[in-house]
This record gives sequence, structure tokens and C-alpha cells, in this order.
Amino acid sequence: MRLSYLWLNDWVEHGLSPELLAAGLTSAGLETNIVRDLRGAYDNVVVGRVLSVSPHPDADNIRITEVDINGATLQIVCGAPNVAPDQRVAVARIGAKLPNGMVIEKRKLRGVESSGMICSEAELGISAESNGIMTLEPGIPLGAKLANHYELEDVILEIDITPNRGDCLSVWGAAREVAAISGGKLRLPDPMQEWGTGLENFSVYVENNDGCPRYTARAIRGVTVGPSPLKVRRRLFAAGVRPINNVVDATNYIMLETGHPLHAFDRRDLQDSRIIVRNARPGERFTTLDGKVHELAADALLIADAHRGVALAGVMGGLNSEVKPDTTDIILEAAYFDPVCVRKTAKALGVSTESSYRFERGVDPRGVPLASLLAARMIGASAGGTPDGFVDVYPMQWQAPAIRLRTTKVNDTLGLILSGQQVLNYLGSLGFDCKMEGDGLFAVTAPSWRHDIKIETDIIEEVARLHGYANIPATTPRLAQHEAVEGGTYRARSRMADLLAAAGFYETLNYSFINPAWRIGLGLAGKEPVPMENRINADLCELRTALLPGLLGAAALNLRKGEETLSLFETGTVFSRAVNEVREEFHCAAIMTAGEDELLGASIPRGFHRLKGILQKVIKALAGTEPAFVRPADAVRRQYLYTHRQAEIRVGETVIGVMGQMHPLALQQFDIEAPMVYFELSADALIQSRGKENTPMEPLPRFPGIKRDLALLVDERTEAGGIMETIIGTDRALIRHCRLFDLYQGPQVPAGKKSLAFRLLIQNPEQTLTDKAGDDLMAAILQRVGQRHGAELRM
Amino acid sequence: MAADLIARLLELKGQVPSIPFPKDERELDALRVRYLGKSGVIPLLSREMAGVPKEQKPEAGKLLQEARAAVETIINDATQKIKVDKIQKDIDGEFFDITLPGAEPAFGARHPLSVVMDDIVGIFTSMGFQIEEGPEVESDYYNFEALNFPPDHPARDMQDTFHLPDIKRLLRTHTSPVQPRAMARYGPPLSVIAPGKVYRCDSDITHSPVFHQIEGFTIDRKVTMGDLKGTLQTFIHRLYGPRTKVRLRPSFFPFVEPGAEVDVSCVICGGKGCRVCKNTGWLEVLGAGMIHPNVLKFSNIDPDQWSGFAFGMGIERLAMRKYGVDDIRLFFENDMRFLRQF
Repeated sequence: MRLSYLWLNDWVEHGLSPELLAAGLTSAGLETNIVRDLRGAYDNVVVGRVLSVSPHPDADNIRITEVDINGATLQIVCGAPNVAPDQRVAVARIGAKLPNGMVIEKRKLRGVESSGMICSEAELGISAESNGIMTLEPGIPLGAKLANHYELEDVILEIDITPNRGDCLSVWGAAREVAAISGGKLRLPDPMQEWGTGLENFSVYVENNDGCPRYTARAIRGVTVGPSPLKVRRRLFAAGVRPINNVVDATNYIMLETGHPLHAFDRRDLQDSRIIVRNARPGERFTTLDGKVHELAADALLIADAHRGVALAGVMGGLNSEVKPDTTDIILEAAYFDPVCVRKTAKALGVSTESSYRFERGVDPRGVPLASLLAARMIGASAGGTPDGFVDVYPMQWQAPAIRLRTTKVNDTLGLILSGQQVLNYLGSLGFDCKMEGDGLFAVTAPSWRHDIKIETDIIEEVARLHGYANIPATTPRLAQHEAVEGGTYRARSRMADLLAAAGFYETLNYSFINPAWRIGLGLAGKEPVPMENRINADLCELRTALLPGLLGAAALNLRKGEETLSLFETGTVFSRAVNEVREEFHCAAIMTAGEDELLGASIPRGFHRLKGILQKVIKALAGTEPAFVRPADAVRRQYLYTHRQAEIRVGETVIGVMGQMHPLALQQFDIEAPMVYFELSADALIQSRGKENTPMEPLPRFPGIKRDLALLVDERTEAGGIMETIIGTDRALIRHCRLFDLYQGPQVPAGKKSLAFRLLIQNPEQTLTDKAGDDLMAAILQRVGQRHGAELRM
Repeated sequence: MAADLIARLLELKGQVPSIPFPKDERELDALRVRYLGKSGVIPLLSREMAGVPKEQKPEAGKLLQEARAAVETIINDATQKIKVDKIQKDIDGEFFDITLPGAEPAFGARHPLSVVMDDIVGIFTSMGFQIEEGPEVESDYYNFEALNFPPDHPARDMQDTFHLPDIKRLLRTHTSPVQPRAMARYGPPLSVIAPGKVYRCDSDITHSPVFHQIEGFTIDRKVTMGDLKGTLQTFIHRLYGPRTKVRLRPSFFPFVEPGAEVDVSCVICGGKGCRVCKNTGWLEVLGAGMIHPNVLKFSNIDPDQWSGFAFGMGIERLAMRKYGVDDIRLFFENDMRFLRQF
């Protein structure tokens, strides 16, 4: 909310500068900033009188004026069509810096010298737009500073008002807070006074008392619609409200001042001189004064005449009954509408107005007639007319409940040692009514504008903010632990991410929602997706079932930007539907371009087996055991991977994920040409696979081992894994280690064959191994691989 | 003859301390030849030992051994010193270009948001909070109702929600639902830190529809607002340094009362006022407060027996400040030119 410092000063004596006021309100919970500071902005703007107006020799639309500013006559070139001799005008002298940033300098306009500027309201920062220059009342002395005669040097504060403090959405609301924090005196009028006499020849029926607990109507006859006085228009402009006419402006002005939204109807348009507050009829249509047609829901509260709706209660008036230039008789509405009712209507129609915003947050039910009276007085002052009756439909008097407040609870909650008297003083300054009911025990009634005060804790907060949060001493608690909290998988996932980062991957973060077309295009199957409503981007309308689409998107973006090699990963939640539940699972996935890496001068291939190797290490570190990579059954083969370049990742008996080389046709859907390899696994399954039992360490060998190399020639379609298994299986006790260190296919071996070279570590834990034992073992291995795989020793 | 030998051995012994310490290989060789060579001083004397009378042999033998040992010590010391000097000389004399580029290992990196998140989780766990995570797809009950957001209350406008209409669920708008979930699951006393992804229907340079929060809360007997202040102060001092000032000011979140917005003295200008803190000297870091009695009641915890505090913070905002990122969308674009910088 925008608050004018000068307007505020009408209602509270506080003695605070705008800066201190902002700081004070902020520390009391109303975050306040100065957004416009007009102090000194009119230093060089003075009152002048136009002596003469003559045409410019070289231009039709500008004229040369002579202006008397008492003691000097300035020649000023002026473009305004309404400038005329004898006008009192606002003159910005040379050196003036106007609120809109314009700096006045001596200059020539089409060859004619101009020593200043005759200002418009817009140039002076009084209104948003203006037709021509501003003319002043005749009595003002020439040469006087404009700011000495008009309310101009204001400071505009922006107050960020939280949803619970609807009572602060007005000058009065702010004034009450300012009085409480500064100890200053409030000058608000008594809300209980004579409102007016009965309303003749007009009736008000409230059908829905829940939606409208209080409705008042006031008649005024014989108004003359026209512009509002400058002061009113300036204050409205300062608060960000567009001036319309003296009647509508008065309702807005009083709303801004008191917090009560008001509405003025043209009495001619209220058929049968009647107002009925009722729910909309099924399918009823209504045109609001902005010209929009709405179809109303049955729970929308409508202000109607005998035949039709004339206003949407608390939201907006109707086009059919608004105040027009020729309006003379008006009915002024001031009411208390139910916050939920107004909110539902406003939400359903997708509108939010100054009025609905305030009603949703709750206005002061007791202050309704006062707001009506003040608006009527203001209309009387600016538009004339005579009061012609008032009616107040208020069947159930609003009564705030008394809340029990314990001083001990105040101190226990805040960590303070306040006395009952201190608590009373704080509450008293905010208008709370407190009755002592025992030692340190009070019955507290909140003022009628404080709808946020419902329970004891709400009152404790009031005490806390007036005492000042800064004055609560900081203490360090010993935090209670709960033995059942296991801590989940956060740390393990973080560790996994650290390992992948160490292995060369960059962590990415992708949105959790995707375009279903990506899932369908990739052929991601096995999980039923969860649809969502996305008002930001309607294409991204389901929750991801896999991390793959996001990673491909990230890869595509980077390749497009000229990156050549990429290693990306993500850990995050994937979602799938299970009956009426959503199953969430943490996944970890990575994608990397295939090719070669230059590392420390060596060239290392990156591809399927590189990724497999990384996974072996990472999974071993997290699960405690090496994973197995198994060819998937045809039924679960992923179509977005190469038919034969894919494997299921298993830990023990559990399949935790999949890896493989991306199918070029899948990549094509993301406009990726570079070959890529990928894995995705369930981080939850991986972390759970780690047993609670620790695997005991193997004792270190006491006897030296021997290393033997074995180069085999096999058919090119033979899998190395099987051969390796056969080698190790020859004597699991002796063969400690078997590593493939060379794979060769080419002119050095016969066509259709390949050479596999293994390095073995043979070691007997019980005794030193003899060469002969080694030889015998190698012979046995050779015989077995020959039998099982047709392998022969490569000479 | 024998007496003469002893006299000559004594003389040799007297000479040893004044043998000049050899400075290089050549001098060392000369010394070795002179004293230990085939016709060197010591072998020559040694040959004369045969003619020494039996009773004088022990004395002569001892003198000879001492002389030999003394010379050998000089030779060994000199050999060692010459070797060391040579190594040092080679090292001192070489040309080596330390300005050649480092051969980097192929490390990747964590995402900056993960780095900040892990740091903060680390601080809180070391203070005694236990990690608990909740689902990202939530019910209206846990996301709003159990947190004291009544239906049709304007407080709901503070959090623009993504809905999953098919299953009448929503994407959680904050990590706060972990509060009622953990309360229901464990009951008091309890101290929990809950990091995670959250969602709001909002997208511009300071708002992302997907972002991250960390929620923390404790419930115990007689937890006070002073405890909240002390806990947050400890956290902020560990995150930003012990000189950082902490300010609490009243604010509104439906699930806490009294509620507070927590500011720290600007980490950029130290509180003097700059562009980052919009000349206020303060930066908003988190929201906090005493857990609202209604929230405790929803979880069947008696607010007259137990009390607690809660706080929550957005990770993106902290990371944006930490790294000077001015557009939140950079975190989710995954541009390598961005990711490589962390």
C-alpha cells in the first residue's frame, strides 16, 4: 500500500521523519520503504501571472508568453493550448528539477529564448496526465513558492502489508500503528455518532445476512458531478488511484483514508427504488463497470434492484448504475461483506480490486456508518447536494470474543520477564480492551478492526512486536533428538553426486515437469505419468517419470551453444501414478558424449565402457558391492538405446537401473547428432541395497604372488566377460585378479578373430607359489577356455 | 724400528685434523690415493706392522686403526657432501617453467545450488537437527490446512500453486509440510531439518517455478523465541561469519506466531548500504517464528505442554547472493559456461 506522509499527518501526531517512520513501522512488522521523496522538489517553482501571450514567428503550436513572478518578468515559450493572459500559473524557474526528472535550463525554442517553464499538473507530479498547464486560484501572491500554498512536498511510503493485517490498508490503519509505536496522539473521529435520519421512498433488503452482515445506504440529492479539488486529486494520485469525478473520488478517498470500500449508485438506475442483497441466480449474467460481462456462480453475492444486479458485492459496481456526468441523486453504499464470500466471487471472476482486496482481508464492521458519513460530507463539500436519509441494516451486532491471556504464557513463549502492567500498556496502545481476571491473567478483547486476533498467541505476538524483537535476548537451546529419525537418503545422494562430479560430470537441475511428447517420443515405458495443470507453460503438463528427457534437453542446449564434449548428471525425484497415489523415487542419471578425452596428454576413449567403469566404481562406493551389467530380456529392452548396447544394472538380485548408448533416432528428437551414452538408476534402490552388515576385510596376503599374461585368439563375436569368468573359475582360490588389458582386431590376427590379452595375479594365501604351480594353472586355464570358447593361445 | 713406527703413527694421528677437507672429486681422489691407495701412507704403515714386537702390537694396531678410521671418516663425509652439493647445484641451476598450464584431471562439479544446500544442511545437522524429507507431491491438507492456511484465506495467495487435478493433489509450495508430517510420524520432542524442491506457479528473473527450500523446526518443552533467535544467530554466524548482524522483525506466515522475517547485515557492503541490499544495509534471509498452536493441535500435540520454533529459507536467493547471479533462470538452464564456474 502507498501511503502519503502528509495525509498520515492529518490523523496522528508522531514527530517522526519519514525515514524514522519507515524504520519504526518495519520493526513493528509493516515493512515500509520510501518510494518517492518530493521534499525540496519544488524549490524553484513559483507563482506567476501571465502578462501577455503572442504567437511564435516560426511555429503555430507554441507561443511566447511574458510572465510576472513579482520583481521579474520572464519570457517563456509555452506549448500549452490553454495558456492565456492574466492566468495565475506555476513557473519552474531556471535551475528547477521537477519530480518527473526534467531539469529547467535557459534555452531557445525555434530561435526564441525561453527562461523557464509554465508547468502542467503532470510535470509537477500531481496527476498522471494533464491537458495543458495548471492554473491557480487568483489570490495567491506572485513570486511565492508554489509549495507554500499547495500540499506538494510529500514523501510516499510503500508498506508491504501481510494478509493478516487488512486493518492497515488505510491511512487510519497506518496511523493507529504509528501512534502505538511512537506514543503519539491519534485524532480519529468517534465511530459512534449520529449517522442520519431514515431513508424515505427507498428500501433495502438483505437476503443473505451471512454474506452481508451489515449494509448501509445513504441518499444524497442534487449533486453536481465534476472534477475533484486539487488536494483530493493529488492524494489519490499519490496513493496510485486514478481520479474520476468528485463523487467517485470521494468514495475512493474515504476508502483509502478509513479502509472502508464504498460505492455510489446513480439513484435513477435503481429500479423500484430498492436494493436487495442476494445471491446470484443460476446462470445470471452481470456487466461490471469495466464493461466486462460475467456469468455468476450461485454463491456470488449481488447487490440488486428490483429486477437486476447493480453491483457485485464488495468487488465492483455495475455498468448499469454507475455515476455519470449528469447524475444528480445518488445512493451511497457502505457495508461489511463476508471476507470468504467476497474472495470466492473475486477469485471465480479472476478480478481483484481495491475493494475486494480490503473486504477479503476484513474491514471494521463497526466503522461502516462513519465511513458513509465522511464520504457524504466530502461529496457535499465538492459536489454539493443535500443529505436525504440513511438506513443501516445490521441485524446481528458484531462482538469480538474475549481471549484469556496469561502473562506466564507471554514470557514462556518469548523468553522474557515482562510484568502484567507492561503487557497491559502494550495492548492498550493498540486499542485492546483488557480486564484483569486474576494474578497475571487477563480477558482481552481486540478492537473491531483486528480480525487477525483470535487466540492467546495472536495477542502474544502483539506484545512481542511492540516490545521489539530486538529486545528479546538470544538463548541457545539444547536441541531435542528423536531416536526414530533415520535421516533418509539425503547424505548418500549427495555423496553419489560428489562421486560423479569427481568422475568428470557436471550436475544439472531440470524442471520436474515435462512435455508428454518427449516421453512418448523416447518410448519411455513402464511408469504411468501424473498429469498436472501448468499455467506458465501448458506444454509442460506432466511430471517426469525419468530424468532422461531433462538431461537430453540440457545436452541439446549445450551442443547447440558449441560445446563438444559433455558429461552431465542429475539426481532428482521422478513420479509415477499408482492407483490414487503418486509414487516418488529419487533417481540419478547421467549422459555423456561418446568419443575421446584428452587427459594429461593421453587419449582415453569415452563411451559405453567408460561409463560402465565409472558406474562400477560409484556403485561399489555406495552399495559396498560391485554391480553386474546384464543384457536385458527382450520384453524390457529400451527402444531409446541401441539394441545391443544396453545393460541392466544389478546390485545383488535387484535391477536398479539401465545404461547404454542412446539410439540415434531418439537423439534426433532432441536435435542431437553427437553419439551419447547414458545411465539412469534408482538412487533409493541403490542406497537401500547397501546392507546393514559390514563385509569383513580380507587379510592381506603374506606370500608374494606372480603375474602372468595370457593372450587368446577367439572368434570376434565371443564375449570377453564369459572368457574372464572361465579363467577365474579355473581356480578361484589362486587367481586373485584377472584384468583385460588389450583387445585387438586387425591385420595381425586372422580375419573373423580378435585377440584378448589378460593379466593375471596368481597368489596362494598359504604359501609361496612355485613357478611350476603357476605353469600348471596356466595350462589348465588354456585347456578350459579352449574347450568352452574355442580360444587358442596367441603366439 | 717398532718405536719409530709408533712415533710415526702418533705423528700421523696428529696430522689428521689438519688434512684439508676435499672440495671436489679430484681432491677427494688425491686424498684417497695419498692415504689409502696401494702405496698410500696407511697401507705402507700397515705393512710395517709385521715387524712390530708382540708386546707393542696392540698399541700400534690400535693407533693404525684409529688413523684409518679418521681418514675414512673424512673421505666418507666429503663423498657425501660432494654428492649433496652436486644435487643441489643441479637443482639450483635448472630452468623450469611453472607458467605452463596445469594438466587438469577431468573433474566435473556439483551444481551451485547443491553446494549451498549441502553447506546449510551440514551446519544444521552439526547443530543437532536431524534430516527428514517429505514428498514433492502433497495433499492440500499437509501443504495448507495442517499449516493453518484456512480454505479461502488470502494467505493462500502468497503461494501460487500447481495442481494435479487428476489425483486431487498439488506440488508442494514449500518444505513446511514436513512439519506436520514429521510431527505425525514421530511426535515430540523433535528437531528436524528438511531440504527439498518446491514449486510455485511463478516465473521471472527472480522467481522459478521449481526452486529449493530448507525448513527447520524443533519441538520441546518450553522452547522460546529467544531460543529461535539464538539458533538462527549461530547458523548465520557459521554461514556468513561471526561479525554478521542478525535482525528479526515481525512478519506473517500462517503456521508461525509470533512470526518473523530474518535479515542479516548485507554481506556485500557490511551494512553500509549498496545496490544488493537496496541501500538498506540488510538482506532478507529467512522466515521464522514460533510454531502456531493450531499447527501443533492439528498434529495432536498439546500447545500448553509443548512449544517449538520453525524457520525456512529459499536456497536460490542465498546462492544468487553468494555467487552474484542476477537471473534465477540460469540455475535451471544448465548452460555449461555457467556450470563450469563453480
